Amino acid sequence: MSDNKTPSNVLAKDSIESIQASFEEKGYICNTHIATAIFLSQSLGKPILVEGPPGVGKTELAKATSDWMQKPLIRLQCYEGLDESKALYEWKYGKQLLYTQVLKDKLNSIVSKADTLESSIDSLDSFDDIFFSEKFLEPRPLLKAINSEEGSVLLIDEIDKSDDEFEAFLLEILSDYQISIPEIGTIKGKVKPMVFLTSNNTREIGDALKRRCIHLYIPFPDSHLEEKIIHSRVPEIHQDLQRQLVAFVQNLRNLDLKKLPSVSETIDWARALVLLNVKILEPEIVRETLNILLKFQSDIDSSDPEIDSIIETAKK
Amino acid sequence: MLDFLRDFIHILRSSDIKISTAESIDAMRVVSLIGIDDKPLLQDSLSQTLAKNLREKEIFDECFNKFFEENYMNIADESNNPDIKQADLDNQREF
Repeated sequence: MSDNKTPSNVLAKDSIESIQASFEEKGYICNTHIATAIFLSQSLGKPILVEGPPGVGKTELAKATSDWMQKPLIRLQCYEGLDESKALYEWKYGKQLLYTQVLKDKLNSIVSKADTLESSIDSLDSFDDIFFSEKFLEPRPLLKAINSEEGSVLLIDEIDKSDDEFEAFLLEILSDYQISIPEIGTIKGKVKPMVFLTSNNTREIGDALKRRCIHLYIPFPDSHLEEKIIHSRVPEIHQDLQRQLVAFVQNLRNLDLKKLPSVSETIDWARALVLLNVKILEPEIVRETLNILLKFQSDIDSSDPEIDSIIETAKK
Repeated sequence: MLDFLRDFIHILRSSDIKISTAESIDAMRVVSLIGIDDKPLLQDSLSQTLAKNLREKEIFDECFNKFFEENYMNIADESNNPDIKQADLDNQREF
């Protein structure tokens, strides 16, 4: 496996560091934890199940990976009631109908040659495969990802919002990477897509699906990482303000709120403060712009008494 | 090298973390991929392969730290012997 000069862990460590560096170049700041998951997923050929609070960059990770691998991102947004016809494939019913109408004369001539009902059905039957061929197939995200010639990054977003049935159906796809369509046959992909599943934990994902994945939990970033993210996304921000606003948001997350401010909201807030030409955090401007960070009136009300002291702490 | 992994997985299972045979094989592949010299990297990688929710990750970290304190010297000895390493990998293929 490895010789003494280049132990496997050094090679692995190098790969992980280079992943981290390339992601940073693309504007996605990640820690070694996330880079390790990408490395393992690629080496083991397994999907990554990404869990964590909303707005920590789960979906962004898939986008950054697609950018890094230079492969198209195919996204499947899950929702209650999502079924195979929306996720896998569908027959283009309208096109089938239209074609049979347009080709009515042709069909008539075929049928007219037959003298009995039985033989006309037989002669029609020999043609109906045409209407169930790939020309009339509408590929949905899963089929697109599997069928992709050059490989792809498949993002199955918010899997916790789909039903148990859909999860069971995914198991089959994710273990074989092939799809059987009764009228056409089995379609097997040439290149395995890199698969991300994300979950906001509104329900526990089944063990069977978890077993097939690498499990990555992305928590809210620590202040150091969050400052790096702000610096990368809002480069024009003043260094003092950047430090203060990140410290403020970090402390705000310690309060008992309905919905904690996410990283994307910190970025929005930073952009807003830069636009408003703010240099340092002041209670007045914070109160005026707090609705960018907190999306429930009850959260805004309950945090109000704490604002002044949080700003004081953030400025230290 | 993989003896330690077998023991470790046994400890995890008895600490109420569900680990399938397929996941044990993944863990072996992870160890042969990254080695065992870099402890944080090993911890991170095995956690992502074996512990599948936050509760399991906490238990995992506890077990990992304890296990490595007690066994690190033995593991390092085993991994420095290339013959054992190869033999272990051959065994793994027989699964």
